[in-house]
Amino acid sequence: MTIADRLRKAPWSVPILAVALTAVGVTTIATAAEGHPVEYAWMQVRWAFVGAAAALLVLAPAYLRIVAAWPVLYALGTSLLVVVLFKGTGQSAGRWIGVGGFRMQPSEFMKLLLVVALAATLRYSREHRRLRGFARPMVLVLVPFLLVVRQPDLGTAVLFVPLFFALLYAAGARGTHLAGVALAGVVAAVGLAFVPGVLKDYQRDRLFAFVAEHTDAKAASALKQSQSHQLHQGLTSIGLGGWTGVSDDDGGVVEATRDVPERHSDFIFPVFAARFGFLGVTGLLLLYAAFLGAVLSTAGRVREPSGRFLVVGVFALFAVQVVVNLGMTVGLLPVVGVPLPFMTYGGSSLLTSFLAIGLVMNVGADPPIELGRVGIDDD
Amino acid sequence: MTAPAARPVTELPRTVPVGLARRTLRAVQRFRTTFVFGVVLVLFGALLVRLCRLQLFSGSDYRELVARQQSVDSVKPLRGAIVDRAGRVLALSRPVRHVLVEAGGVVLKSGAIKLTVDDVSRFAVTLSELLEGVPSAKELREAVQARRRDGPFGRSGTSQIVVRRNIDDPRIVARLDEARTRLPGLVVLHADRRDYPNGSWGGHLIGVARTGDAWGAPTGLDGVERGLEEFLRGETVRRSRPVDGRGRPFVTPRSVDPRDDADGRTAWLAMDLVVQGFCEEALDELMAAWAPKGAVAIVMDPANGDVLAMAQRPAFDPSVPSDEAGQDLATQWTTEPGSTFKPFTFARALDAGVLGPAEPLEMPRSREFTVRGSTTVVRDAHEGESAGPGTVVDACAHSNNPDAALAAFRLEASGMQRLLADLGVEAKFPVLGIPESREAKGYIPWKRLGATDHLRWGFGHAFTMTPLRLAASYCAFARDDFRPVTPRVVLAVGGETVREGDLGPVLVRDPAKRAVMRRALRAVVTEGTAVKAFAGARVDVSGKTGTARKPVGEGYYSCSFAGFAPADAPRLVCLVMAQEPSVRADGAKPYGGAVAAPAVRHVLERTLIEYFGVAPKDAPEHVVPAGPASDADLPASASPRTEDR
Repeated sequence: MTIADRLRKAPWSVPILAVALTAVGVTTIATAAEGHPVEYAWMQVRWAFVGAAAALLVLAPAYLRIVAAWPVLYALGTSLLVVVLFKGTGQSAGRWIGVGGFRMQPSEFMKLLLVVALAATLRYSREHRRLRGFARPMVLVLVPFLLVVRQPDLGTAVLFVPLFFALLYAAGARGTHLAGVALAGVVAAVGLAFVPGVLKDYQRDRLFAFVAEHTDAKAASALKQSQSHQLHQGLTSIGLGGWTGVSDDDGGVVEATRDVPERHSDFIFPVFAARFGFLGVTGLLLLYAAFLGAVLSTAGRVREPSGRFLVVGVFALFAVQVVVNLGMTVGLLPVVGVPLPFMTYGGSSLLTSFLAIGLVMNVGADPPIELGRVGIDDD
Repeated sequence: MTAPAARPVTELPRTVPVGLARRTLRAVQRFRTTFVFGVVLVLFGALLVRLCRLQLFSGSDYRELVARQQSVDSVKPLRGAIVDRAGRVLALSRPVRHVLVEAGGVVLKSGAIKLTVDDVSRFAVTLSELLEGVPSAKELREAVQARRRDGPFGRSGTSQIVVRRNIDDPRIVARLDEARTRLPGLVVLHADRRDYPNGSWGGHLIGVARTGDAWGAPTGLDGVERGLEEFLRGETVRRSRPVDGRGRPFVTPRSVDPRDDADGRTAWLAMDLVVQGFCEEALDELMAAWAPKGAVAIVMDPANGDVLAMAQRPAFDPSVPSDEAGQDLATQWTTEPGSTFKPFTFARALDAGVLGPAEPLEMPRSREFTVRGSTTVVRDAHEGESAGPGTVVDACAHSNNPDAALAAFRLEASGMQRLLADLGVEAKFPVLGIPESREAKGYIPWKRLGATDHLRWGFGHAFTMTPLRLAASYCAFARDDFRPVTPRVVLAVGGETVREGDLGPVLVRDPAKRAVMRRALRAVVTEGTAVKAFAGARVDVSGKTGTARKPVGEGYYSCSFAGFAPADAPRLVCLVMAQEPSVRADGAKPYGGAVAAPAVRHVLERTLIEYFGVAPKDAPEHVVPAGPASDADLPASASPRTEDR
């Protein structure tokens, strides 16, 4: 099957909705970066074209070939994560490495590579029906997780966890096992948060800011004045949005959002919410829901397990990012560095998203007949 | 046959019919897919509920919060300029930038300092290019590295180095303003630079405005700078700026500098820089000849009290940061006027009718007076034979103390007290531009007043007054109405003309007696104590010498000459006073006629002939030399009198 065939058979609702979300993102970035010397919006458009080209490249081979190459891809991803530990640059965390004239964030690509690795590992396995069968996928997840935490990039690392659960769930793991592992993980994470040196100061501050804000009114007030500044500014901008966005009487959207840190990247949503108000936000959530639904419906059409796991993994990746990003900006979750797919400014993030779209189109265009490893007598 | 229990549902059991297996598989998949999607939708719903609360129910709370989260800054505008009556710049502010570099950073909780500039070499090259190579990248890099090595660091980890001050090149300023938002570690401070292009000329009158820390807006410390502080400083702009939770302002590219606009706050002084220059020259000559402790020269327009020049030695140069103004002799030096006061006594005696215009006066070398049982002998300061007998004109011309005391005697203490009160000896002028604290009142020792002290007032002793008060009083003799003036230092502020000051009481009401006084003052120059100083003068000057022995030590005098010219139609009044002049190298003694009168002659001749274009006495025909600078820029009412210029 050629690229042309795959393009013809691919589920086009997914890329169309992705492009629509990207367009919304570029518009919002333009607002967020108004007055900034760097033209983030145009750079994002450029990255979108690069992403579209990359998606076409992913469409070229049959996805089973990609899945088959998982050990190489996984090794490449983890190697880059090791390199970034020594050569990484960045404002608060060494997350980027220079490639030519660009900066690349390997942890973004690792999210997708992990989906491929998990899909390949789980496709014909029955081990994960037992608890001990969790070991292999867990090791696959833990290696990049620990490397990314070490950068430190807690936000991206946290995303690996739901991928693990989503793919195991899709692969048929028992709900009780998953719940038990999840509970154990939460207990371990809370314990580790108090161990000195595990979390960076700002990471612990963000977490405590979040906890305090939801438990202690006095602490909430004090923290609002200090550590949870970013969250507080984000909430303020969202709150100013009202039904239809900040009016000019309130100084316009630029004034309302000018003090939101990282307003063109992880905190892009407050800018959107301030600009378009509750009606716009509802529309955006519907758009994301439609996009996620389109991805998941692709998974429903695929019979071949690795293909279905790939799509489910991509779905989980996007869904978790959307929920975590929006959750943190509205104060329901702690502030972590998780991008809002297609909206947040960032080359690596957008490129990964489009690669994921390419993968979904590839799987959706090429559903193999094969249902299992053994022969089947059709009725 | 049974299916293995552990078989994943995603695979078909080997022994189950395919149709059933497919249906079972699809059912499980459908359930799990629906369930996962349902979970996501529920989460979306939760987000929507939260957003609904934030945007629809708490919107007004956030609006209030934003309104509170503002820091109101007081931004001082650029200080207004000071110009002379022809618009020549006397003091000017320019917006400048100071460039600093943050060599330190921020102290982290771990105690380490996170440096603001991570790549010093690159930073140094970039900044040096911005500053057009001054300082060089190498110097910058070494300075930052040295500071990092040796400190000191502030408690918060900051350590700023001053790289360059007072940058006013608009190209560099524009580049700096743009770069500071994108170059971490570059600190650009806005400041005013106050320039005084004429150095020490009129330094005491203009005063000085300086900043305490070299970064902020300058504040007037002396002279007009202080007197007009409120006006020159301008309305402080209250600008609200958003701040973060800790009250720290956000620096954004949209920040503007409202201080770069000083329109409409120019102060026009009555001073004429050209006349000021003549005064400075005259004082230089005086200082060279007599080496007094200090000297002051004041030139006034008797028509309106405009202070055209006010110079003093030691001079004060506001353009030199280390220079301090010290005492302003014109307004703070209270001294006995000496014989320069005699004309006022004679004038009041004539006006009161206690002295006749043609009454013969003995002009003795001494005379005894008895007042309420108290006797005193008043001696003349001059030696040798008496120049008398004569009239009041002669007594004034030869500066006879006993006759001045006689006039005071006839006026009695009450009459002399009225005279001092009419001249405002003990009062301060309400002069706009002269700070109240920089003006002293004259002094009359009321508590130690003896029965005969008012006789000494008659020849300018036993009380003090400021040179400015004496000059303003002398304007009476140069005016047709014989009324002292109030000095006007500031001509116009912000386009509004400052009205002329109030006139004092009429000193002589009878025109005939006024003519006598004019003759008396002219006679001082033509045949009296100032005849040598004005021999061959090219303008007719009238005036009076004064030499007052200071109460401390021997030979300490204050020498003065107050005069006006042209004698028949006065346009200028000039007073020069010198503090404790020395005996000259050729043995000449320091008298008012020798010390101060030549300086007055210099100022009046040069101003009237070379600047105002008055024809000199010895000119074969009417010659009009180059006049003063164009008055095109002056406010209409601020223009100096221009008739027969």
